[in-house]
Amino acid sequence: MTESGPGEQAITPELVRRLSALSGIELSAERAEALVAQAEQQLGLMRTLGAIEATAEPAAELRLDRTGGAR
Amino acid sequence: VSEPLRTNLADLPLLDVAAKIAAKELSPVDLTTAALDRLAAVEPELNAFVTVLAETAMAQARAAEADILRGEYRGLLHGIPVSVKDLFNTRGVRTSGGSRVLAENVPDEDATVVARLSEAGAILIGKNNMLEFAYAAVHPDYGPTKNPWALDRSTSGSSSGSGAAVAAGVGFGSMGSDTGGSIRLPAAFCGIVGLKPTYGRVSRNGGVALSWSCDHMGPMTRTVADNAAMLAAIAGADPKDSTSGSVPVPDYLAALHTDLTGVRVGISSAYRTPAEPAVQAAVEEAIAELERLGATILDVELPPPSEAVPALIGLITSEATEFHLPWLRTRPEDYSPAVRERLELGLLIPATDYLHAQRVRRQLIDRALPVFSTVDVVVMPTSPTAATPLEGDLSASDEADPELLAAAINFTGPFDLIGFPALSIPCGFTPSGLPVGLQLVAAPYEEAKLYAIAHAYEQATNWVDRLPTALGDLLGK
Repeated sequence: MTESGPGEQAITPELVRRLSALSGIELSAERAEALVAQAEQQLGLMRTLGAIEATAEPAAELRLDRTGGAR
Repeated sequence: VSEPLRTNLADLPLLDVAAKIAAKELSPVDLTTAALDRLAAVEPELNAFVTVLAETAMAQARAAEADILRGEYRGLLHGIPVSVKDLFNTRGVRTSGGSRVLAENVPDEDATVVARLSEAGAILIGKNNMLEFAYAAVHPDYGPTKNPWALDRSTSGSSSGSGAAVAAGVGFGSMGSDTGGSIRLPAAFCGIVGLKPTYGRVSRNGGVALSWSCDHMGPMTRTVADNAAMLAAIAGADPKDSTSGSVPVPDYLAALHTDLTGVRVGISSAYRTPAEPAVQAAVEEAIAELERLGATILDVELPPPSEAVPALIGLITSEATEFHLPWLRTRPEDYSPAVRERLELGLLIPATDYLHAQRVRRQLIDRALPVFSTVDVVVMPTSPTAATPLEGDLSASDEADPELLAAAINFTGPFDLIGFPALSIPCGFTPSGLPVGLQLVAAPYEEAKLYAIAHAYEQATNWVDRLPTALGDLLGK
């Protein structure tokens, strides 16, 4: 079980259902219940991401031929 | 482990048969016949193909033969039978992505890599089985691909059919895709060579997407030089892929050599463990061999998997879910249980987490680049394990298992995140006769360095000469 940090909600079947519904996916109560443990793993992995430098920008469209690393 | 037995035409390296074709000593018709005969002998047991294109392949072979006899030889791939993973669009030929969702999908245009292979004169013999949408699970409609080294073992994935086909002598190369390790892990498990090129080196156009940020397309072959020949045919800028790079394609084959004097090989402590002892021993011996060949071994520190893999999984999970959302809304039951669960998990990741992962990606690139001013390559195991039993394999699970997935891509995933090129080559066997993969990583667009160093190692060892242990049983049936 992943502990919730400050300001984070615990992952519950109802939260899973509500978040999925925002994307138009209607999950049954049973399916949402089954997803909770997997969601805790998934979001737990994301919580391990450390702090980053304030200047670091997203690398959403990566062009490695435009960095200093290309020949 | 079997003794070297590469005497059958189907088992020869691509460049060996290419030389015979160029010298008009071998007909593409005879070569394609040999490849299709081998396919018929090992299928459906291996389950490496979802579509076989025997008729069109023979027609292409006859056309290639006529061209070559007229003096219109196009180069090293002319008349060479190859296959592609079934996520590359093929005009008029079903492209399923290993899924039920796209089971009836027939594209009207070739993927860029398919078009380039065709322009080079390669002959497409079929489309390879794969994990569903390249997302770490077998769809029951297709079933698992078996490993030619041990039929009860996994090929890993997701380019599972490509790895098994090349290892089993069905064609002389295959195109795979790699978002977390899907070219390199099957290459390692099947004892072949697999390249995940630099992000931007090979066009992604016409490949069914898993994660736009991290998808890479690359060749899988039996030798390093064969791999270089295939990359030369498919690499280069493509206006149909906005992330395609404009760096000129060098002559990879001309860069191959056997002397590693002056070459600097890095070892990064974060990429030494956890690996099973037999894998670790083979990798340590490979490093010793590189040193004997003249390389200098240096300690370096790449950004560790513990930072890179969670960011990669965050990107893949979010992007895959966005791509699949229309189908997830309307036909969720058509996905395998594990892929459906992974897609549903993607609904739960906040946009802030996704963007944080993209910022981590940028920061890790900035940290990794300076490492390659001190070394030419960094080496490590491709996978923490050799081929795992099919029963109980991650790809057979009905659950998403994010932590198990993260562990499986521990050594490969970081380079999908940062986009640097990475090559897996055979470097030995476990005591039970399963192949072990050595991964070499270089700076962006330095595939020629990877090939040069890997080729020198390959020439000094005989790992690629060995035929898969189970192949004899398959051919005897």
